[in-house]
Formats: sequence, C-alpha cells, structure tokens
Amino acid sequence: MATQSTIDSSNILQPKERINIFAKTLKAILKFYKKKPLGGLGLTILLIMIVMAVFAPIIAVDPLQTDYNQMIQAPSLEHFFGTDDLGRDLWSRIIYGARISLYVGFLSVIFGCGIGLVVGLVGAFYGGWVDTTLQRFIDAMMAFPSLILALTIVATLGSGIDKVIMAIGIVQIPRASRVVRSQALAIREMDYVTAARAIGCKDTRIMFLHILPQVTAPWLIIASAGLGTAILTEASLSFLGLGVPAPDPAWGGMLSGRARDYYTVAPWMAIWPGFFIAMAVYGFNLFGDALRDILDPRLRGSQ
Amino acid sequence: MQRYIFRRILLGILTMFIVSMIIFAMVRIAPGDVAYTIASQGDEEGTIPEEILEEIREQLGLNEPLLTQYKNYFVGFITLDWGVSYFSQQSISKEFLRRFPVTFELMFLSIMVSMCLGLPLGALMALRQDTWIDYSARVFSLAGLSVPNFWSATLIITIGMLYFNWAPQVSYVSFFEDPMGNLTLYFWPVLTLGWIVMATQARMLRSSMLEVLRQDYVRTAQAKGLSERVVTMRHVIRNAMLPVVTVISFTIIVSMGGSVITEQIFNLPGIGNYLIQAMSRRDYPVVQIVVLLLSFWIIIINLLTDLLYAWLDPRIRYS
Repeated sequence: MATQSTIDSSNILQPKERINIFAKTLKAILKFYKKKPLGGLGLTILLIMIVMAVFAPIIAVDPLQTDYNQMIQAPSLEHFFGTDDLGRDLWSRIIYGARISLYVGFLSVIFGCGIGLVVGLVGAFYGGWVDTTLQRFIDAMMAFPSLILALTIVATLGSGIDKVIMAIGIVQIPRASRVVRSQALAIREMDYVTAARAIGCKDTRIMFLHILPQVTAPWLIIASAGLGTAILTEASLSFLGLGVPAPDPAWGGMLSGRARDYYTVAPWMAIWPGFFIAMAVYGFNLFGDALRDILDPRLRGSQ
Repeated sequence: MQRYIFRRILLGILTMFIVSMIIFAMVRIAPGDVAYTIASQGDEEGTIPEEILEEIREQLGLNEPLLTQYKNYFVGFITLDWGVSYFSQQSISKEFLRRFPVTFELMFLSIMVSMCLGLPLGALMALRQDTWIDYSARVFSLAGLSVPNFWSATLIITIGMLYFNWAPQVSYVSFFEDPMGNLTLYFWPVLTLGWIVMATQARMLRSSMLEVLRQDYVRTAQAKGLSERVVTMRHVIRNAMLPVVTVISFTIIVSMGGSVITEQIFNLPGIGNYLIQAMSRRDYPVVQIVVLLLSFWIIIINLLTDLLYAWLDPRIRYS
C-alpha cells in the first residue's frame, strides 16, 4: 500500500515542473517563430481562427438571424462586414463559419489520415496479398481527381456536414497510407523489430508500439498538409451547393447561389468569405510547410 | 524493360476494373431508394406513387441482379454505349463529345501558360534557395494553392462589372468559328486555373531540383571548379528534367479538378459543368459514366507517364 502511494504521488507533476513544461513549450514556439517566420505567420493565422471559433458566441451575434430592415447594408460600426441579402450580419456569419471550417477540417483529417495510417501500417507489416490488395484499392482511389471523388461521395450520400466530413476524409486516405507504408516498410526490417518478434510480441503490439512511433513524423506532415486541403475542399463543395447545407454559415456557401446576384450591389458579400477561406488555407499551408522542413530529416539543416 | 511495360499495363487495366467497381458500388449503396431520390429531387416531403418509382427502376435497370447491372454498365462503357441522361433523355456520348473540346481547351491553355511560367520559376527558386527571390516566389506559389479559384474568379467578375463595365460572356463560341472571340472568352478562366497549376508545378520542380542539387556529383562538379552555369546546365537541369515528366502529368490531374469549378463560374459548357449539373439533380446514369471517364483518363495519363519515365531513365530502360 505504502509503496503504491509513493509511486502515485511521484507521477503527479509538481507545480514547479508544470511551470517548467509550460516554459519549455513557450520556448519551443518562440524558437519556431524565430527559425521559420513564414511558418510562424501561418501559426498566428491558425491561432486567430481558433480564437474566432472558440469565442464566437461572445464576439458575434446569431449568424442565422434575419432582419429585413437591414438588408444589404454596407460595412459600418454596427455591422463590421455589412449585411447580406437577408439582413444577416456578415461578421457573425464569418466568425461562426470558422467553427464549421475548423470542425470539418480537423475531423475529416483525423478520420481520413487515421484510416490511412492503419491501412499503411497493416499493409507494410503483413506484406504479401494483404498489402497487394490494399495497394490496388489505394491506386484506384488515386485515379480520381480529389475534388471529383469528394463530389461523387457527397452526391451519393446526400448533403450534410457529417457526409462532407466523411467524403473529405476518404479523399485523404490514399496519400496518408502511401507515406506511412513506405516509412513502415523500412522500419519493419530494423533489428529492434526483429528482436520484438523474437521475444514473442503480438503483431498488434509490434505494429502500434514499435513501428507506429517511428512513422508519426511523416504522418504529421501529411496530416498538417491535409488540413489546408480539407478546408479548401469543404469550401469548394459548399460553393458548388453540395457541401454544408444552406442556412449554416459555411464560408464557401456564402459565395454561391443567390449571393452571386448581389456582387455588384454589395461587393462585401463577395470579398469577406473568400478572403477568410484564402487566409485560413494559406495559414495551414504555411504552417504545414514549416512543419515539414523541421520534421523531415532529409531537409534538416537546410532552411 | 519489356517485362516492366507488360506489368505496368496489366496493373493499369486492373486499376480500371477496381475503379469501375468502386463507382458502381458508390451509386448503389446510396442511402435510401435511388429511384425515390431521383423522383423526389432531395425533397423529403410528399410521397411518390409506386408506379413512377417502378418506372424509374425499370428505366435504370435497377430491377436486374447486381452482377447483370455491373456487366451492362462496364460492357456498355467499353462499347461506347453510354446510355441516356435520366433528365434530358439525351445521349450521354453525344453530350460528352460536344462538351469535351471546351474542357480540353481550358486545360490545355492553362497547362501551357503555367508551364511557361511555373517551370522556370521552380528552377529559379531552387537555384536561388533562401534568397528574397525564393521567398517571394514561395509566398506567391503557395497563395496559388490557397486562394480558392471560385473566389479569385468572383473578384475578377465583380471588379470587372463595377469598374470596367465588363461581364463574362454568356454564350460560348468555339475556336473554329471565332478564334479571337474564343480566346478572349478563355482569358480569365485560363488565368485563374493557370495560377493553381503553375503553383503546383513550381513547388514540385523546386523540391526535385533541390534534391538534385544535394547530390554528390553536383558537389564534385563544383569542387573541380566548374562555373555555376556549367554545373547548372550540364548536371542539375539534365537530371532534374526527369521529375518534370511526373510534374506535368500531375498538373493534368490538378487542372481537371480545378476546371470543374472554373467552368461553373465562367459559364463554360464543359464536362465539369455537365458533371455538377448531373450531381445536383442526382442524374446517376450521367454521374457514373462521366466520373468513370475522367478516372480512366487519369489512369491512362499515369500509365503513359510511367512508361515515358522508364524510357527516359537509362537505369530502368536497360534493366
């Protein structure tokens, strides 16, 4: 009993250590800003977007509330970005749109790249016919332009935010699984994996405890690059009217449909949603690029 | 080499089969009754009489066993008997042939424009790595991948209408009827699509050139005192030309996806336009044929790229 309690208390971080970890993370972030100014810019954009999404109820009003006395108002102090054809506050729609973009982006990447990770690991580990079959399916999925694959999936499943997440996730599977597989193939031949097998580790244990940690770096690179693509694809689907359904304030959807008739009367309706899509995707891409430079050992040492 | 070609072609054919099965399955596993979805047009309310549903099923051949359906689909596709659109009752192959030149010209012009700009830009970025040229070109090309083309196109149209009294033409003219009119029609679409394609090309070429620049033989060439120009022309460019083949084939795929949206905004009556129209109306006969066609196209392009690559690379050619 007594020994157990000592072990437990040593596992809990002491306040001093906690501050230490906090300081370390802060230091790492500062170093990142200094070493990769463009990546830092991307990270800043990301943080702004997350703040927008988290504090949406505080800094914005209801994005769905229509006000027929306030239709197509130019930007003013009352409505920072103006109002749309139904009198909805564009600023609020943009803020709440960040929620949709981030939600779809993160979930679809976790879903798609997660499946890709497992497919790649299993294929590389077992080899033989398992690998061949999986690879043929991945080949076939790569034969679709990604937007068209996502469109087809949404067109058959029907629209809705969950289906959009699924469609965009599926599109991410091939690339993630390719990268994980090629890395895992090399790791599989390492001595320590053979050693693990020799002492009788189970397949799943070898795969997830011994090989997985070694493939996380390339996986992270692919996943972070996938975030930008996912947000852009969501915007494109919504723009084409096959993404997030109408009343919800998706950035892409704000640029499509009836809104197109008002561009000359109300240019702000055309400017803001697209600007935020572009900034978000740009931020994710800059951040992903910097992350790749840092994590990819082949590029280490170069800028 | 012969074994490689044979193997590669067989793999291509296998991929085509799997792709056709995936598309076939996707259309069939759609939740709910396909006939109902088509008849109701996504409208959840109201019931549709059973006779109408039965008629749709009959017309789409949904009553036959799955294997027969798949056989009809695949054999029909191969023998160019693509059936008719559910809505317009027009032959799909006729519509496709009518629309194909529109998309082809858009893709061709975009790729040409971007090759003239993107490849030199990518090479320059690699050769002047970490200078202001590299940085500004990277910012510019990454913007090409980030700015949605439906937004850049929207801005162009809005600014054109507000300040220059210009609007995209509503009617389409083919190149053979009116060459100048056709090219002015394509100017902005090509520019918006070309930016994306160019960005992809420049970034891919930059990274593949950087890889070549780090090779030992480049260091040897520099160490023995060759001028920078000679090293670049003889050692770097020559070896970096191989990946260019892959870069170009990849950009064909990128431009195919991008053309869907570009056509939609600029009212070009191309394949992408056709596909979106069919998808929003749940016109499954059109969707399953057009998507299959596009992916066959990609498979063939990938196959040709691999073969060309093998032929260009002596290490593969003589093995």
